[in-house]
Amino acid sequence: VSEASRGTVLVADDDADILDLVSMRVERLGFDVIRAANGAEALELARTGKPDLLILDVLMPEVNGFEVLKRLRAEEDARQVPALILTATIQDEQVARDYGIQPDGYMRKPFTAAALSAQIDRLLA
Amino acid sequence: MADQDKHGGAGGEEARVRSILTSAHDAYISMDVEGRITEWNPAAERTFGWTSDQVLGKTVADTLIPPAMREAHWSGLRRFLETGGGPLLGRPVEVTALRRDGTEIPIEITITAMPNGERWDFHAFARDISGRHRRDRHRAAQQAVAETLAESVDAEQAMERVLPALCTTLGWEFGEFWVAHGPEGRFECRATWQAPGLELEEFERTTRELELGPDEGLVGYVQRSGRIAWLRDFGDEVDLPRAALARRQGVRGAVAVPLRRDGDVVGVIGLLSTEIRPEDPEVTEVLAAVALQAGEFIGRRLAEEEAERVKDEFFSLISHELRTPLTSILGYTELLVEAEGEELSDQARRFVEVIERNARRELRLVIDLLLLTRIEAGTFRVAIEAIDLAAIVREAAEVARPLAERAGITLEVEIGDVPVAAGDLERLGQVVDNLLSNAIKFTPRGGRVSLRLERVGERVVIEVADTGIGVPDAAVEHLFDRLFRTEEAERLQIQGTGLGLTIVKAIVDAHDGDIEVESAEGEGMVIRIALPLLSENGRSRALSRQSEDATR
Repeated sequence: VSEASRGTVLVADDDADILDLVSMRVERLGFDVIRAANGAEALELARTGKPDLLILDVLMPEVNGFEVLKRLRAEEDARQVPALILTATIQDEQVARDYGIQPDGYMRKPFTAAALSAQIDRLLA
Repeated sequence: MADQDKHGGAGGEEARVRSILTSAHDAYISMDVEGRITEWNPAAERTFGWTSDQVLGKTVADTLIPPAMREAHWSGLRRFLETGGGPLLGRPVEVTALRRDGTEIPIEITITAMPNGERWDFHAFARDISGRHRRDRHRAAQQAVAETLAESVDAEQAMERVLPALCTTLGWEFGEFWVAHGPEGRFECRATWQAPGLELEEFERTTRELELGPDEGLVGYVQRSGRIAWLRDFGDEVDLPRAALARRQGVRGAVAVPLRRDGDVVGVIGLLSTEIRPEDPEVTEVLAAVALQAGEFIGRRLAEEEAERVKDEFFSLISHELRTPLTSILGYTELLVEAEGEELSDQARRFVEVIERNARRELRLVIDLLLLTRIEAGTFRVAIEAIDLAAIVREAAEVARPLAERAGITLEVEIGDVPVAAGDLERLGQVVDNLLSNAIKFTPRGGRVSLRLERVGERVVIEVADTGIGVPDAAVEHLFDRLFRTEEAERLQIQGTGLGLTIVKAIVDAHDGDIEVESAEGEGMVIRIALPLLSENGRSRALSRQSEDATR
C-alpha cells in the first residue's frame, strides 16, 4: 500500500550500482525517483522532470556533478531546487568553491541509510 | 636692482662673484625686505622657467611660492624683521616651489640673511630635487614589492599585495594582475586594486571578468612582445577591449609590465591612472626590476600550485575509485539486512555482519592511506570551522562500541561540558576513531578503555586511556613514527599497519594542538590531545594554517 509521494528526487550517478542503491533508498523514504546515469542526462531530466531535490555524484564523465549544478542554478526554473552532493573526498568542497557554487549538503561515500535520510529531511524541511 | 657695493670689494671682486653665480649649477635668488626679487641667475631661469627680466622686481611670493603657502611666507618675513631670526634660515630645507608652467617641484633651498646698511638682503641657493624624490620613490617601490613577496604565503596573496605596494609608491591609481590560465595561454585577471576614493567599480568588475588572448588588448600585446608598454591615453585607443569603458570611467594613462619566468610570460601587471601618462624611462626601469622579482616569485608559486592541483585531482580520483566499491558493499549489506529482515537465518546474519565489519576495516585503511599520501605529498589541509567536539566524540564512541563488545572490553565514555572548538570535523573524527580502535586493539579481553572529553583552561582535551599492553619507555618517542610497531605488538600478532598514530599526530599538528603520551610496559596507555578553543585569535591562526603544508 503506497502512501502519497513525498515528492520527486533526481538521482545522478555514473556507477549503476550506486545509482540503484541511492534510488532504492530514496524510494523507501517515500519519494518518486528520476534516475540519471550521467551528467548530461541529469541536466536533461532535471529540466523536464521538475524534481524537488537533486542528489548528484561529483565525478561523472563529461559533465560532472558541480557542472550540472552550476548550469541548473543559472536557469530560472531550477534555481531553487536544493542539491545534495555525493562525494568521495573532502577536497570536493574546495572544488565547489572554485566552481562558484554552493551545494546545500554533502554526503560522503560510503554513507549509512540513516545519514542519507537525515540529510534529505533537512533539505526538504 | 640692489647692486650696491655690498661686499665692500673692488669692481674686479664683484665681477668674479657675478661670474661664479652665473655659472653656478644651483639656482641663486636674492630678495629684499619687501620680498622682491633682486637677483636671478641662469640656473634659476632653468629651474623655474622664468628669465631674470621677467622676474626682477616681482615678489618671490607671486613667482615661486604655491598659493597655499604665500601667507606663511609673508608672516615669516615679518617675523624675521621683528626678531632677526627665522626657522628656515641658514640651513638646507626642503620646500615645494612653483614653476612658470604652473607645476610644483620639490626643491632644497638654503636661505641666508645678510645686513646691507640699515636693511637686510636675503640670499638663497636652491636646487630641484624632484629627481632625488623620484629615485627615493622608485627605490621605495622596489623595496615594497620585495617585502610584499617575501611576506606572501601564496601567489594569490602576493598578487593582492603587490598592486597596492606598486601603485602607492609609484603614484598610480588602479592596478591589475593578470596570469596565464588554461592550455591556450589566455590571461585572466586574478587581482585588482584601486586607490581609496576612486569610483572605478564598473571598470574593476569588468576587468575581473575579462579573459584576454595573446592578441587581445594591451595585456595580449605585452604578453606577445615580452616588453613593457606604455599607453599615454588608454581611452583613445579604440581597439582595446576596455577603451569605451575607460573613457566613461575616466581611466587614461596605462602601463603594462610582462612578468617572465624562464623566458615565458607568466603574468602581466597593469597600472592605470586617471591622468594622461607619457612614457617615463625611469619608471620603465623600475618596473623592469620589479617584473624580474615578481615574475620569478609568481611564476614559481603558480607552477607549484598547479602541480599541487594536479596531485590533488589525482588523489580525489583515487579516493573516489576506492570508496565507490566500498559504498556499494556497505550500502547493499545494510539494504539486505533491512529488506530481508526476518527472512535471514542466524547464520546469514552472521555472514553479513562479517562482510560489514571487514568492509569498515578496509574503509578505515583506505582513509588512513589516502591521508598519509596527502601528508607525504604536502597537500594535506585541514578545513577549520566551529565544531561540536562532544558530538564528534559521541559518534566515535558509537562506532567503537560494537568493536569493544566483541573484544570483551568495557568502553567508558565521559563527556564534559565543552565550548565550541576550532577544528576539522572529519579529521578530528578520524583522530578519535584511530585512538579508540588502537586502544581496543592493544587491550586484552576483560580490560577497560575510557574516553574523556573536558575543558582544561583555554583548551579542550580528548583523553583515551586503556588497560592494555602499553609500551616501554624507549618506544614512547617512536609511537608517532610511520610504520612503527612495538615488539610486543608483533609477538602478540596484533593486526595493524603502524599508520594510525602517525596520522593522529599530523592532524593534531595541523590544528595547532598537542599530544601527550603516558605509558609503561604492561600498564596500559593514556593519550591526551589538547586542542585550542575557538577564539577570534585561535580561529584566524588556525585558518591561516590551511594554506600551509601540514607535514610533520
